[in-house]
Amino acid sequence: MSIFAEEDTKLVIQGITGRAASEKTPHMIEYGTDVVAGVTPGKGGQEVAGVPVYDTVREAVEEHPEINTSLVYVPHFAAKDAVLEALDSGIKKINVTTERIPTRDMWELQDELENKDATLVGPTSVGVISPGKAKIGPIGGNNAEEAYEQGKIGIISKSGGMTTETAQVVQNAGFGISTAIDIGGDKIAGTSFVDALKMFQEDEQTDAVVMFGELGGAYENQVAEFLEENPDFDLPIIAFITGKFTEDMPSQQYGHAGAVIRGDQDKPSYKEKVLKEAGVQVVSIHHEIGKKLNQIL
Amino acid sequence: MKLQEHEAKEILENQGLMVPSQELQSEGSYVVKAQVLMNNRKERGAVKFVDGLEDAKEFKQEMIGAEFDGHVADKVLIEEQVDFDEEYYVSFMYDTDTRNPVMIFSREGGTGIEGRKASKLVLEDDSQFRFRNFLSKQGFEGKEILELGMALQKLFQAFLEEDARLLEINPLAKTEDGYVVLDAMMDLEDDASYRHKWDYPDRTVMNREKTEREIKAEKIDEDDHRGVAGKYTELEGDIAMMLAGGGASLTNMDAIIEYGGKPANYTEYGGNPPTEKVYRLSKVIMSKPGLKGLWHVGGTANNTDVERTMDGFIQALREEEPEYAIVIRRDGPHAEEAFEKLREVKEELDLNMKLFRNDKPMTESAKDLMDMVEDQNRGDEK
Repeated sequence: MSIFAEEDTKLVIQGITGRAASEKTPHMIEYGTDVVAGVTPGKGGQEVAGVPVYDTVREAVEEHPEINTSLVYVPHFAAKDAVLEALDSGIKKINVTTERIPTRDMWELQDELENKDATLVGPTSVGVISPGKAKIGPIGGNNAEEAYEQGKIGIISKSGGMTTETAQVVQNAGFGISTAIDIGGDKIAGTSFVDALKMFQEDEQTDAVVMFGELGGAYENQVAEFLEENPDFDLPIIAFITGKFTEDMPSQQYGHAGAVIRGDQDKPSYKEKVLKEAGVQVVSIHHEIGKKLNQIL
Repeated sequence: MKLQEHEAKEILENQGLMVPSQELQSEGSYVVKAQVLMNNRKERGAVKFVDGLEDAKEFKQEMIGAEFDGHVADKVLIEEQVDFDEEYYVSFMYDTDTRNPVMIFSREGGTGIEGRKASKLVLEDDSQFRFRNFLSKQGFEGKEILELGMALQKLFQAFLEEDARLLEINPLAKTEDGYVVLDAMMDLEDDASYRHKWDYPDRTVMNREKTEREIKAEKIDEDDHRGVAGKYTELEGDIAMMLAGGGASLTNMDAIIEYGGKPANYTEYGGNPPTEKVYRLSKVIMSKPGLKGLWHVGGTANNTDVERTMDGFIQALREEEPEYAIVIRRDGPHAEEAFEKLREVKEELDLNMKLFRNDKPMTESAKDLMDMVEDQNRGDEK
């Protein structure tokens, strides 16, 4: 088992002919991911690294009914449309690499995702990897076999680069990874920390979860609330929250909305506090994640 | 992009909201407002209430070019003073908790709002009934519910249509003629600029002048758009920070502080910038006087070519020949070649420099640097 990226993942890449996507596609294939089709409107009939390209997702799904996951790699102005297109073709797992999607577009997608009972990871996600099974997106680069070893630790990270670095620290401590998932740091994320934790809870391979959080937003705080409401949740969680130094930097307040509604709740120190109170193992320096794993497992 | 008050009001007026008149007559009461991007302008002397046009114009002259807590006013707005019965606070923003936009509302708007109670309304769409229900619960009655509800809906529509990150009205005044926007703050989402015809002049939100080094660094990205190597904020410490990758940069700032270091700057480079850009950024970072150490650190890169970027850093090392302690921790594509070159330059210039790849945990190398800095200080004392 593992989550989202699995043995039976059959991937379509939307925007496959783009510069970055066409460069990353061979890495996914070499890793062993079943990339069965690509889609770029207007470029149907071409091939990228041996993968057939279609004009529409519908055509791709008709030709390859086994497709169950989409990787969205299109420019930011086309991202909302691409996600709707995937949903319309019945795809239930969508990973969005695209950065800088307007917040309004992500908000407008929420209802449709819920109606279709689909899972979106991202946007601004470097991908999802389940070592030995599949890698979706650029995660781990062309060297993912070395960067990620199979094991029983799940990783949920808001930062792409730090997903791989966190895996490194876990592996230096003698453990491997079940799935590493970059949920992205956008205001409206398709998958929150709590959403991902619920998936790991269902996964038999995962014995503990490491969270890499950041300043801003409330997704980390939701984990504390979730744990308090679900005392039977038994996966140990280790958390590291980055960006504490920003609290001491002079801030440029523009407007009072943040202070009125949130107070200090989006600050790293607040997040650390509520997570600790909820029983999460919080480390203050990144590489201490390894030591902590050795202590609790 | 943060808008000045007059820019935000123009948008809201086009949306059908009422704003104070800017038509000036010799008699009358006016408000003179410096257009600076900061909170609590009244308390900071950037807003004046005057009688008569002469006085208003005089204040305007005084305010233009004046500095308010470091913010310089290039433009000053004169508006008619508005009599009102009540003032409300209203703002709209996206809320990560509910993954929806929310409205925050208080019956007691105006200065000091931070300390007062406000209610939150989660908005699943822009239907008017949502605002009416909310107002009814807040104790509003009759015509108020309809008219204020319409004003709130228009504000929310402006927030959505303009792709704002924040729209804050403080206060929204209840007058005899209806609801009037007395002050407005609006922050537009730059990521949505492709679908708007925004044409606003450049602005800064810093309340201090940019330093010479910050201006130099900014130029790096302006001159060449490949990758990012121009983000540089000068700080008061003495440990130069050459940081690769967004999440890693934040993590490493926290780590150096945890080990007792004081960063001389914050920076971030990434997205595989060319050698020349990394060279220029390295020169900026090394040019700060009084440095005691330098930490060049990043995770295991997925995209960025470590040799290509390290070449720029090495060129700067050759020119500057720093005597302070240096720790490099980096890995990724072509790291082998990059570290060979680093070993060469270390020997050639006899640098006090330690080199690590990813067998050393990233944040642990902060401790190595701080130990070297301490040894160096001890040496200096002898």
